Amino acid sequence: MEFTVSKDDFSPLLQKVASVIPMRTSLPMLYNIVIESGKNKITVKATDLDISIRGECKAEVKNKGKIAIQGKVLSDFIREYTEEEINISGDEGHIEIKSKRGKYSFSGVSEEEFPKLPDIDVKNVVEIPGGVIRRMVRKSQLAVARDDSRPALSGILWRGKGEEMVMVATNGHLLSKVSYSGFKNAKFNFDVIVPPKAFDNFLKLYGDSEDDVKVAFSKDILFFLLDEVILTARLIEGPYPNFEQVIPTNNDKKIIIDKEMFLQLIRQSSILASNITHQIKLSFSSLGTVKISATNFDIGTQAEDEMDVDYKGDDLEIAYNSNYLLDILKHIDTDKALMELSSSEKAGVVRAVSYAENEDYLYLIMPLRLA
Amino acid sequence: MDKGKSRQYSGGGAFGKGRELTHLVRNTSLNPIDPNNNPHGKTAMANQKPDKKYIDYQKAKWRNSKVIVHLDMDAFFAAIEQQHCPELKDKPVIIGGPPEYRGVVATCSYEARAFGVKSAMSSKDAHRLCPNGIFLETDGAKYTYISVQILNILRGFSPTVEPFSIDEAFVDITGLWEIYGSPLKMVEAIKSEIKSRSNLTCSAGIGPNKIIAKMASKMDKPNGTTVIAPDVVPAFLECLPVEKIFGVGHSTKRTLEKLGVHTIGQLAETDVAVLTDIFGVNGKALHNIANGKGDTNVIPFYQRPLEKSIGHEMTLPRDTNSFEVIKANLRLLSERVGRRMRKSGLEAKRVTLKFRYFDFSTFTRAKTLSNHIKSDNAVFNQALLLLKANPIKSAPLRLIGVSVSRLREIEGDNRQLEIFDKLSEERAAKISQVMDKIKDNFGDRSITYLSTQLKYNY
Repeated sequence: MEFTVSKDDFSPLLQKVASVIPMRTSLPMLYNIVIESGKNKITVKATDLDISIRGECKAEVKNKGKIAIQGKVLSDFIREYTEEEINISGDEGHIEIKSKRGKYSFSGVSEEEFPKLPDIDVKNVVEIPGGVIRRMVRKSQLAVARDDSRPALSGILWRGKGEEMVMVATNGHLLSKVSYSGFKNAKFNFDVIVPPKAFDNFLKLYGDSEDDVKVAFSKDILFFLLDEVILTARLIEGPYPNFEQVIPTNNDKKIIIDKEMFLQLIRQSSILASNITHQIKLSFSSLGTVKISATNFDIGTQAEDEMDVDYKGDDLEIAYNSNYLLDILKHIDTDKALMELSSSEKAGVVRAVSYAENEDYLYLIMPLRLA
Repeated sequence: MDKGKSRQYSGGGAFGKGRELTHLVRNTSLNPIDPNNNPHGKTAMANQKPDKKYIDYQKAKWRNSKVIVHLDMDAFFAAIEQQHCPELKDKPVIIGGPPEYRGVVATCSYEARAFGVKSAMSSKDAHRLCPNGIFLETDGAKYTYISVQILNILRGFSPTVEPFSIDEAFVDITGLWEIYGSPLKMVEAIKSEIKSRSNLTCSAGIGPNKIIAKMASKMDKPNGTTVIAPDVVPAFLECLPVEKIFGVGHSTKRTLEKLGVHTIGQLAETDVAVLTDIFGVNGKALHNIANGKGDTNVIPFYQRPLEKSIGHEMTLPRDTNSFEVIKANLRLLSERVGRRMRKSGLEAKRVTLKFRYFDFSTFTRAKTLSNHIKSDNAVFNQALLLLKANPIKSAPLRLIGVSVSRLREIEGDNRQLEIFDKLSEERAAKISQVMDKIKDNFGDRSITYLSTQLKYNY
């Protein structure tokens, strides 16, 4: 194979594709990137088996061919390479880049050993503002289960129905639900469980843009059709637990609390809390205060502090894993947070006091049983 | 009547074959032994006058030494079955898988041993050697029950008892033996107590450390007692072949033979540096053992270090690639692993699946979880995920195993409440604990998961 390509086209493409190459794998073939020269263009692809990225750029092709090359090495090299025109030639076993006075060669392997990537299936394409996806992912992913003892919970549920889109994540103790509505004339109809890694990769490629992005779904694959590259991700098998029925709708104890101050008191008290349970106890009083307390008997520490809240209901004592509460409060956008509680052993809801247009999000948190 | 025997090697002179029992006994137990306990002792002692000085000397032998006893129950499983069912008395009883299936002999009665049947031989071979042998499946719950009873008897004699396997234990009787007059007499008393309370016999070894005691108990089975006092340790070890050392198997033996080392005596004289070069730290340990220095630290159950892993595996009765059958057996193995884990008060963070194909190629796959688990269900689900992630080749499986590791003691009640209670580990653990209680009351086979019943569904 032989082709000439401009560095401005080739280098960004390689960086994008190579970003999916796994750091460690038991399948060394995956360290490779596959380059194929076709008619007036070259295509480049890589995968970690769950996620794949492929893309193409225009090139002056003299001979067609395919080869698999150590991906990180090639992309690092091309990034540093100084000449604008890159001429690559080679056969099945290696490629060479000739500079004005030098020569750089890379040995490769036959592309046939490389895992087959899913066929692009773009029948069900929807266009979604990428910025919305970004905000929804950032708000929901904190609740994703970190182990995959229950595989469905290790992903983010992404559901589109009519003009509304929802993302849900839960680890069994914490649940996040983020929704956007008002996609005028949209006829969304999808319901998938996406590995967070897929969104991470997408957001890396997509950057800070607000442009629409084309997304397609097949039975078990999700496609992001970006300008230069296509990202595919294997979906997680369901079923996803029925989250609607666990979100309490009539918790009567409503507390409005200064988010920053609450966050700070929890943060500093939690350092003195048990490092196994991370328990922090909140004692809401009808006088409009909350007492925040924590104890670690192992090292003999005790924290107790108090702040004013907007609350007029009965006294309530409730304990939480402080890490969960901190995670939630950090994602509340308003200055005040609204907590909706019922009793010390029932699910509580934390949400913002107001929302941007079409946006809604809430967090469900399960308490720790008071000893 | 108990046919107790005892043996003691005298100092001076190598340990050789035709050593006379009477001579050995005379050297040791000079106080008249209770004839009920030791008829041999009685005959040997008949003409012996107690010699005060000599007794003191005997005591002196052990004075600055640890006295460790290793007790090994004789044909434990078979003896229990014979005890349980008197018709089996004096019959060749073989405990293990039935010969029609692929099983191995766990143990067998001495009547069966006369036919050449041995532990770990295949049931088929055992059946060929002993066609009239009575095959019984192992009944772990029964054996464990008796084992615990016997350990309790031992704890009545010494607080320092270390269970070593279901039918073996170490007892530290340092100092305590003086109440009885000699280590031998104390051990005879222990054995007689076991005999009278369980009607089972055991073989005992007495030595200055665990290794010597363990080697000694093997010298005279069944129902023997072998005493290796500190001063005769070198003579005892000198001519024994190296493989008698616990832990020296085929490959170590072969390596030693290449060095010209065949006996423990030769091993003792080998340069430590040579041994450490070849075996690393184990070289030093081997050298120490050969020189009669060994571990004297009997670890009572309450100080036992946490187990590193708990696992069960089974050779399938027939090779199979039926997912259903494999799944059913995984269920069964997970249930056993879970129960043992909870019995030890432990929870695990890592699950390992082991599978062996018909051609003996063996693989393990493991997963570390973010939380500790203690329910059967969680163990099973992880094992199943590992199985699914490594699809069964078209080749049939011969063996599967499940084990858990990264263990720690169960940390109180997990107080984190769950959103999806039905899916929660806490709930699954509660179910497991209820099943445990039922099994505690009615036996291990009283309750199980319905899906395990597909295990023979070929």
